Amino acid sequence: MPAVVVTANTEGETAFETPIIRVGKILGIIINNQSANDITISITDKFTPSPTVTNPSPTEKEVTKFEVTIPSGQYETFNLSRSPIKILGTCRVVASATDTACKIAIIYSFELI
Amino acid sequence: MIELHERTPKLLEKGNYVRFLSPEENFSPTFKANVIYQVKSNVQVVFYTAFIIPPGDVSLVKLNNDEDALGLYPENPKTLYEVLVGFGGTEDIIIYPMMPSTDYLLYLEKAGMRPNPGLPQLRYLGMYTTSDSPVNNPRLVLYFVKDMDQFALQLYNTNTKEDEKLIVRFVINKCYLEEVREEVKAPVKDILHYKLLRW
Repeated sequence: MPAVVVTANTEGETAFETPIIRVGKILGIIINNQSANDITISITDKFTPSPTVTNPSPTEKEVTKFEVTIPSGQYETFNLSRSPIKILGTCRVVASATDTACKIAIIYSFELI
Repeated sequence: MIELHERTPKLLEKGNYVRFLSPEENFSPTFKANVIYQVKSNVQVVFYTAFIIPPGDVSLVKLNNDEDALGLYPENPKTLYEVLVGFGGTEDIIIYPMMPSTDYLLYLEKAGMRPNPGLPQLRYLGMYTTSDSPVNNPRLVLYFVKDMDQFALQLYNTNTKEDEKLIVRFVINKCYLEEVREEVKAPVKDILHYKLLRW
């Protein structure tokens, strides 16, 4: 099962790109915040929807799928295998502070059905 | 022109016979009705695509060869596309076949028993979900010939909170047909014009 590790960054880090004909599923998140401050981590999904009746010319949008604040010095694990977070496009990790001492691991899979 | 089978159907093969049935003299501008044609050669082309539909929204996906459509109609006047369609991704998107693209194709006979995504009691009439024809076990078959009326799939995201992705796998069995003039004793596959589905 693929996994990726990124560091906390206010600009956001790309964790993975979901292929067009797959749905991404986040099965677990591990956050190790060894920075001096509490950090809020947001997992977002960035994609462009298809044209619809109400919006024939859609633009790219970014939706927050998961958000948590990890206190300084804490290590937390989120097992999401029973209710995975669905990612339709690009999975990004956006933090409230930029600090390489805060690491975020994402465990994911791609599914067709 | 549309069939939902209980299991994945066998595709047409070289040497098989087909007959187009239509209430009119011609099935389409290029094929006559009630005439038998033989598959002279065929090849299968797989095409995957996907659609992301916002919460509670509706998208119309045309399958013909217009600029804003998927391009799944033949250009050659002697070609028949037999298309196996499988759905994946989410159960939350429901799929209505439309023919022509402004009319729901499937409905019942009682007045008012037509699909209506806006009405919960009629939302699930004349539609498919991913489990009706899954990607790995497709059961929906469409037949397209050149210059047929426009066929479309209307996709409705019943999830009112989240965007959903529908993945569609098409297996296009490209068949080159020749008219048969002699008597045929072998089985003939009948392909019905959509107007024959509305009696």
